[in-house]
Amino acid sequence: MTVNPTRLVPAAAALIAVAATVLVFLDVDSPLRVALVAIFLLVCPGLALVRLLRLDDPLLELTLAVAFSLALAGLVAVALLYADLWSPGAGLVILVVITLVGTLLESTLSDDQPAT
Amino acid sequence: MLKAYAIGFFGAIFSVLLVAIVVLALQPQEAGRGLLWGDTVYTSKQEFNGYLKSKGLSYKTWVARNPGVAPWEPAPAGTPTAATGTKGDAVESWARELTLHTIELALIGLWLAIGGALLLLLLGPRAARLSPTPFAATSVSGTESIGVPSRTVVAAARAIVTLTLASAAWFMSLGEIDLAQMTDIGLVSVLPAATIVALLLVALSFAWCLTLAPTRASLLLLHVLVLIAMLYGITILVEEVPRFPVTWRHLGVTEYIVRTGDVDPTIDAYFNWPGFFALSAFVTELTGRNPQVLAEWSPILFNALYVAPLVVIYRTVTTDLRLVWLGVWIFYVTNWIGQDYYSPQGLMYFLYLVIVAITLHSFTRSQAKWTGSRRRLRVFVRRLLDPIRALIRAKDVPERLPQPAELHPRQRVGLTAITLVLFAAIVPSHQLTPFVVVLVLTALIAFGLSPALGLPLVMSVLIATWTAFFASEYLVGHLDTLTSQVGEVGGTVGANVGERLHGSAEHLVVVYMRLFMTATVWALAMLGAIRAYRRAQPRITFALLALSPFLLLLLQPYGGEMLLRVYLFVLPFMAFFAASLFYPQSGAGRTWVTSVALGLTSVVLLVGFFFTRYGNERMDYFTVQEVDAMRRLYDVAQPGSLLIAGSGSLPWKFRDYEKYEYALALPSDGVGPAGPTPRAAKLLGALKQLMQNHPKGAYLIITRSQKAEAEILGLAYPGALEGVEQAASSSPIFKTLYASPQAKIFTLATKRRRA
Repeated sequence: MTVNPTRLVPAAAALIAVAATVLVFLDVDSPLRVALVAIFLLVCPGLALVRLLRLDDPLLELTLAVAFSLALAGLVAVALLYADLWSPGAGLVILVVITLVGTLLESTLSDDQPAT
Repeated sequence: MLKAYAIGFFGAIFSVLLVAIVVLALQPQEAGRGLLWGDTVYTSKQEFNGYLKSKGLSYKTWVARNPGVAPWEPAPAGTPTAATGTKGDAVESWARELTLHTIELALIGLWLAIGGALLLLLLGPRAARLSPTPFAATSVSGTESIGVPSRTVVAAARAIVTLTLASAAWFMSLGEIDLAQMTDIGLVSVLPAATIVALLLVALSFAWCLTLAPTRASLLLLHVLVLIAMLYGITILVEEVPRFPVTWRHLGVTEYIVRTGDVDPTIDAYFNWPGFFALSAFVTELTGRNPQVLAEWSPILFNALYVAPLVVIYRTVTTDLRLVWLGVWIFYVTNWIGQDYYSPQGLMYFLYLVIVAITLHSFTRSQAKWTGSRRRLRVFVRRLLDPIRALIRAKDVPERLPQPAELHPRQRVGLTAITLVLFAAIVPSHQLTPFVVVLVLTALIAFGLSPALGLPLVMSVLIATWTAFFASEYLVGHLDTLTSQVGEVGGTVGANVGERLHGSAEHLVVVYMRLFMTATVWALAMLGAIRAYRRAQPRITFALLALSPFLLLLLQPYGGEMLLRVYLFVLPFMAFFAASLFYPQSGAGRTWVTSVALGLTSVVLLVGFFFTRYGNERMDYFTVQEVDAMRRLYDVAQPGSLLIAGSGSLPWKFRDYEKYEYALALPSDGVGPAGPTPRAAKLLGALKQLMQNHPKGAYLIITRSQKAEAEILGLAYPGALEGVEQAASSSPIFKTLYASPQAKIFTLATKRRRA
């Protein structure tokens, strides 16, 4: 049985999410942490959700993934700030949970059916 | 095929080596011209003389005893020139010089090698053309393995080598830039010829790649990325710290959020729309890095982000990839507005583009009915213009338009949700962008091009909610200014154009250049739109998007900046129309005339770019010295102190944003000097008064960039700030807190009077 390579994308997103979280919470000071956090915030939460739409247009998918990720990160930050709950760690966890839920939903879908 | 790959491979290795060597060669070296004596380095004769005198020695005797040691004395025969205090140092520096020579030789060798490779490539396609199989060039599968490189591979290799050469030349030329020599005409005055040649090389290579059939989108993308790096990365590599005073102020807002984990809407407008800064603080804490790095790289990051939505937008009206990528290219050579620094609008512009992209891609109606009305309109025009009918005879071959995407209802719901989330992220981050989004969507709906009536309605509710509940602090204080200027078009245009027309003679060149380039881009766009229209390509959605933001001019002068902002919001569509001047429909524009015209236009726009974008660079860039002066000041100044600068161009407010009061001796609010500036002594007297009346400490900061701003914008008579600086240095009332060649900080020497 062959694996469709595009199905690995959400798995990669989940992996980056977990790796970034570990590095942040262990407070590792390394360029790897910067790179992983940057990639995570730029791409992962959005990608995990956008892929559920099965858009069949990689460029549009990527564009939406980046924009959606940045918007989610911005909204989470603003929400924490105005709720007097400012905590970057908590914000990261929220975004990681979004990513993981998106990934799990994705794995329950067939290849060409848009999600509810 | 194999040969092309080999050349490409070696070209890549060469380029990596080249870049590595250049990076190593550009590493900052410690000042080699100093004299090491004892444990101290002396950089001038005077300095060393002072030291000798303090030891009771005479400089002449010392020179007689130590010939050729001091670097400022002419070297006696037989002494190594770079000799410093000890023998070991001399050997070391000589070795360094030898390494430098080796690097130079290696570089020349590499250049020759790459030149040879390029020559081989130039010969390559001729061989392909001479090959007996006429179909080899079209690379039907199977013919590639014959051994003759297919034309596309050769083209790719040639373009990549050209780009590598250009990048290397560009990168090496940057070392020659001496910012201190810059004149009021901006960065252009210190650009080495090689920098410009490298850019022109990229532009010509891009124009050449556009002639390839089939169009190679990946090659064109590569050119665009190199262009972005060159145009927007130049200041990052040449300057020591982020440019623009406002960048530093934004860093201060981020620092406030990181420090307090809170927002206080009473401080100023930034704290009523803090979305971008919250995100920035979030990133700062997660990466553990100083946000200054992010600020430094923002222009590159933001511009790179814009590429994808631009391509998505352009693909909704054409299937011609040349047109798409030429549009992207023109966007980047004309985006001189400079709103891509570390700022809310820089990032929100990306979200604006994505929302427009989603709308055009998924929420539009077919444009077919516009073709019908276009015909009716043309019949009308034809009757009017009967005498010159022959001239406007259109070749009516409607291009197969990309159809609006057919979406599953669930996909539609998902995309609507994404659009609203993006918009919800814009609302708390920026004041202007949400209005532009609502405006352009409403325009599309009003002309029957989009059925998504719900979107602007929900969006308006979101704007109203934010303004009422979270930005009310700001609104209450500024309601008068917001409403009293509605409809004052004269005032708006005057503030945008008229008031920017003063300053030094060279600065006026820059100002006129900006007006001229704006007019050029819009004129090209108009001609392009007309040409495409005549070829039955009405592109009505783009026309609306290019025109509707101008309505903003009716609403608000936006601090005299609205015209600039409108330029930015309509730029994607203006750039596209300008591109369609060359490619009005697919298949058109295959002659050499088009290529030459396109290349020339590109060159003109590129040259204009450097005048317009970096025209004020002398006052916009900062040095480590200037930032360091402010850091020292924040270390010692008590909270509540009054910090006064000569003019507004300096890197400050990046720390303890809410704790200090700020004032300017020569405000640059775009109005120019209110009257004749008082003489230096009198100006200093007024400043002294201001400082003495302040209950807590007060400081006067004079830096290089402020003097530059005063001169460039003509804020006062020439030399006003230099005069203030000298008067303060010699006055017994002031004492110098910090002094370096580029920055001085004064405070009151005497006990201040109790108010």
